[in-house]
Amino acid sequence: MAHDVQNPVLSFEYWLNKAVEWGEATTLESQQDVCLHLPKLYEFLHQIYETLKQMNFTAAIQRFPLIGQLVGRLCWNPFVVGYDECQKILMCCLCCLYSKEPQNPVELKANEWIWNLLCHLISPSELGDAEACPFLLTLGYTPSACYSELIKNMVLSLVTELKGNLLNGLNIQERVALHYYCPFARILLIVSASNYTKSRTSSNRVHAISVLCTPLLTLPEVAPLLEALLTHRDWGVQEALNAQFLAAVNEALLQKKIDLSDSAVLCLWLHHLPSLENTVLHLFERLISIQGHSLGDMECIIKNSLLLRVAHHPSVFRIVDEIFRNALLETNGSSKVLTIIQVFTQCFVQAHQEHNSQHKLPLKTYFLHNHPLLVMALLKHPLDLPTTLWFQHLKGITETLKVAVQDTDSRSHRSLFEHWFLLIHFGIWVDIAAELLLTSKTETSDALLWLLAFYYNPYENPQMSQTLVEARVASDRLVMLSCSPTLSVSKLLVAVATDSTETSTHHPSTNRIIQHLLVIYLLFFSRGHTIAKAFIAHMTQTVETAYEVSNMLARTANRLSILGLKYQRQIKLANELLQEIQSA
Amino acid sequence: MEAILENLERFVEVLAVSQSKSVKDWDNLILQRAFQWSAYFQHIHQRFQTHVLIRTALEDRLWVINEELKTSMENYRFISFEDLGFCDEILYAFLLQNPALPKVQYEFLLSELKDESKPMMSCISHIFRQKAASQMLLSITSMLPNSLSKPLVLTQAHSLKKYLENRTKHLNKEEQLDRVSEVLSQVPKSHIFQLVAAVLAIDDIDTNISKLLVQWLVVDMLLFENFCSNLSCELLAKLVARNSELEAAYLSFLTKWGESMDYDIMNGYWSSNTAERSWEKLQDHFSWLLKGPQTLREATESTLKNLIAQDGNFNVYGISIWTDLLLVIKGSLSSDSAD
Repeated sequence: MAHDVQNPVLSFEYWLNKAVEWGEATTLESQQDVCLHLPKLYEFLHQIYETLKQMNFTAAIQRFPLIGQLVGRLCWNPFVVGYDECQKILMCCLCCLYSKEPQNPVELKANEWIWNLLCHLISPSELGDAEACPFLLTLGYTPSACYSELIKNMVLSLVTELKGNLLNGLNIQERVALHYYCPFARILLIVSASNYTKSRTSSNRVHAISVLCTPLLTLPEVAPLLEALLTHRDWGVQEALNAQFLAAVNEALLQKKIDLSDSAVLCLWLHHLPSLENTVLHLFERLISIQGHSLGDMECIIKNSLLLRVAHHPSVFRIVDEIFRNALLETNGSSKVLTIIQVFTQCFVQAHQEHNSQHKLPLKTYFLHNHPLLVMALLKHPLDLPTTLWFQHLKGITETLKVAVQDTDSRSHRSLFEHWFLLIHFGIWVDIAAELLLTSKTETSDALLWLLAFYYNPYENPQMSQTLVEARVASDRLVMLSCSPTLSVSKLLVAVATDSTETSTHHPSTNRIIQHLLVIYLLFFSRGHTIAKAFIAHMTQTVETAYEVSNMLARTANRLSILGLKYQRQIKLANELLQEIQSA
Repeated sequence: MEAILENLERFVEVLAVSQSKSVKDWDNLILQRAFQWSAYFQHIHQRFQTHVLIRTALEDRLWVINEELKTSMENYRFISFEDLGFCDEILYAFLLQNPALPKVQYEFLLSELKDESKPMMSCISHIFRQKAASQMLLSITSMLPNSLSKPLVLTQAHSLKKYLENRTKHLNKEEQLDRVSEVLSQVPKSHIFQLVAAVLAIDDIDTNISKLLVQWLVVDMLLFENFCSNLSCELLAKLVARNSELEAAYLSFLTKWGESMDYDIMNGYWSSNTAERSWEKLQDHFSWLLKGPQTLREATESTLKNLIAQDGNFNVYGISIWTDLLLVIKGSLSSDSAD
């Protein structure tokens, strides 16, 4: 393992050569090289440690004759010690090399060497030319106090310097403007050319600082410097900050090891797309792995996420939405993804309304590529309308949607998808449609049925009409059943079963609609309550259906709790059923 | 409260012993109790750092303990209220660097390094990392072409100021000045003037420490001359612009300098008996003063005009050094602005 020739990253020789080459990291090149290699070095040291901890000193020396040289050199390199992970693993290696009862002069000497090394790691000697710290110590300063004061001041002066660069940047522009009017254009041309080179070297310097900061970025005192680097305006033609630095900052943010201002986070994500993508994926992973389908937990995670804090920036929103779109396509419209998009949009709209800023954009601008009337209708919160108008409102949505998708010009696959995608953001209206389909006494509920069918099956048109017919039969029977004097699990099963002799099963999208309607039926009809548990047990016999039904129950419980107190009974039952499924 | 203060006294004594030879008598029990005490005082720091009354009581007691231990121990290091916030680190560092620590206890310290889950690991790791971070940041700042403020000097200045504040507490005026002289006499000669200037530059003009430092500077003429010769004219002009007592001393130093020079008729220039006190250097001092803020400029001009009047108000070269000085500087200043 440690002699692996094929994989240089795991080879002892490779790292010893590196350590020799780096020395005490006195040149800028070697310093940057160290910083860029640290994560790999950590991996290697970790493997060494795993071997070392099973041996005594003599065995360790036989296995790795040059281990002392490697560890010693690395301990003298501040750029290695400054990286938390490497430093800790180096300490562990050192402790493995210590012999409690030294048997020979070599072991005795090694013990002494370890003590010296540890003293060196703490001692404030050799800091800077001016011997700052020893002098402060004669004044009675403790090493910790001395270092933290020094770090604070150096960070401050670097921040000042970075802000100074910003002013230089402005200067260049002014000079360019002046140049335009000036008769001595040639002279000024030379001046601005020299300023251009100056700005090039300054941007190189900023790049180098970003590399050198990478190991330190989780140190709380360094936070102002990170802010200054990220919000530094001089993001020139070439990348001003090192990509590994940006990725490391993002990783530390995701692990909550650091916290940065919203504007710094925004700069990070706008300039480093992989970071934003990783953040969205990270959020997705957390949402998908939630146990028990709770939308409350989902909301909590989304609201605490950095993403929601800066999603009001149109570019960030667009990219997040793009990732949602891909997730939807790749999972073929999985119900979990539908729910995630819906909950994220709910949280986003809520945050947008709570955000009091003069500069905030109207909500509709985030959905610029959709039908404006449709966007306005979907953006309407159900609570902003009297319940008696919900049906009308849904009818309006359906009609606009129908016209839009049947419009010959925009009948392309792409445009169909866009309308469907938009509807998914506001799935709460689809849930309301399903409920009204069963509970309202309106004669014509075709519009509601069409909306449900479109939500579950936007594409295949011939099949959509089959779905519509099948779902119509099932919903009519469910409504009829609510009037019959007796209800049992078997009656309910018969009601939703297919009665065609040609096909023994429904189209899959019909099944999803029926599942949705059944959940509503069990929750909203008091007769349904009596057989709810037994029926749910029937519905959730496979892992797949258990998953779908749980998701639907959680969605409904969440919607009802948003809509008000009068649904206490339904919410309670939904939660009980959810628990029932989980414990089954 | 009194119980906490007494415990504090014991704990600071423990910290003092941890740096001394007496640590050889420590056993595991004492060592572990010492770390328990440090955890306790870290908690106290956390809890009372914003509680003015209790914090002041703790600081006052620390002052008394520090003063006592300072007289009885050589190289004693002061423990401040802020230090209590990371006293486990301090204790660990003191012990690790103390060669008198028994082997068994040293091994205990080492064993703490082995296990990442142990709370002490994170504090030790923090101090190692801070040292490395200081070194790294030092090399990053040295990379900048004209670092605006020198962080090393600045850090030392802040620390010196804090230390002086601490050491001059509860003393009368005269004792305070003695204490300042005593402390400054320990500062390496190569640093002292840069450092005092840095404290004066960062501190508000009318704080007690600034006043004491100015007094310390002006009370000894020779010392003040050294101060002026060690700093750049630009920095001196900045400092005296903020402080009238310093301004008066500086102008009187420059007056004496000018008066000590003679006009070399043969070669047609003002000469002095030392190379450091040259005519060009004197011009440099005055021109920075005349480039300073308005009040400083006016004070300098009126001083020069008074000196010219004393010399008889001649308006030709070679008679009064002050006339010549003003003409030369005004000439160069106006040609600067014409550029």
